[in-house]
Amino acid sequence: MEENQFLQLLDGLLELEPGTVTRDSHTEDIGWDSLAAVGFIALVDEHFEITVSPNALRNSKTVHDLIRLLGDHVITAA
Amino acid sequence: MNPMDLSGRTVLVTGASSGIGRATAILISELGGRVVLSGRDAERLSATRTAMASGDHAIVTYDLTQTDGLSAWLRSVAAETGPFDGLVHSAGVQTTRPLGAVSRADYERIMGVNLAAALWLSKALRQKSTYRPGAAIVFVASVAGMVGQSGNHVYGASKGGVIALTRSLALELASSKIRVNAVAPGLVRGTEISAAFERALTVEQMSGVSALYPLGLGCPRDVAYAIAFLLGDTARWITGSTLTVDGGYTAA
Repeated sequence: MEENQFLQLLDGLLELEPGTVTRDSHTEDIGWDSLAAVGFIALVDEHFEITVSPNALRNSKTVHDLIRLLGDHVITAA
Repeated sequence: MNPMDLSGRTVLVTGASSGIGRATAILISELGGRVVLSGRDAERLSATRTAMASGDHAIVTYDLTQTDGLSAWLRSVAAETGPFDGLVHSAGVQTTRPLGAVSRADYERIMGVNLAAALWLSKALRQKSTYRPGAAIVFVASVAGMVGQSGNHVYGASKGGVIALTRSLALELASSKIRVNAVAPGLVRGTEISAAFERALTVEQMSGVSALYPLGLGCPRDVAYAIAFLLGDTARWITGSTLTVDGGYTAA
């Protein structure tokens, strides 16, 4: 999926106004907690059928880190 | 003399491919009962059957979300196997979703398999040629239907619904001599639900979850014993109740 679709998915997950999350957002600034992490893993499994490990998530500090976890599944803007 | 003997009884078990359903099918066969294993994948059901004690067990596949055809389907199965003495609804789905991420599709699916199917299976069982008086229904509910868990609201609602359904159906079906009960398991290792938890949680988080259980996490056979108890003469005078099988989780 396109990067901005992915960002909107995150806005929804974290119950933020659409357009809040950007590639450079820090997870701790956008309300990321352990429940969000579990929800993210489930969402990623459903949308892309890939398994993200909770440890890899722990090491992700920015949204850009999250995008990188998904490889080709998220097409980043130029 | 074994008070839990289920010889001569034919029991339909949904979700028999894995987890609690599988353990229940196996235990029923060991207690002398005959099982009609239901699920979506004939190969996996076959694998369960191989693990069972010998008997005239049958495999049927059906997508329980197709509720329109359920009564006709169950009637046709009973025409082959004879009427049922028991029904165990163990098929179920769970997804952890924070409120911000829950979708209509999640809701429909979870409610469909966990709650709607319980209702329509009961309606289907209650057809004249499909059950024998003295039959027993056991729904697999969950502790999530009794206490809250963040991110588990839809699953909890579906299982809370099952617990309430159990009570009303028990009252309504008593005159037909059908007993209706539920078991409420906690987190059980070796199930698809626990596998999903293990994928989503770190080892420390998983230990944290285990620590909430005074007796640790359960195994499928622990719940199967309770189900078998509720199916047989051991529960002759039990209906409308939910038996908690959770290692002490809800006692806190």
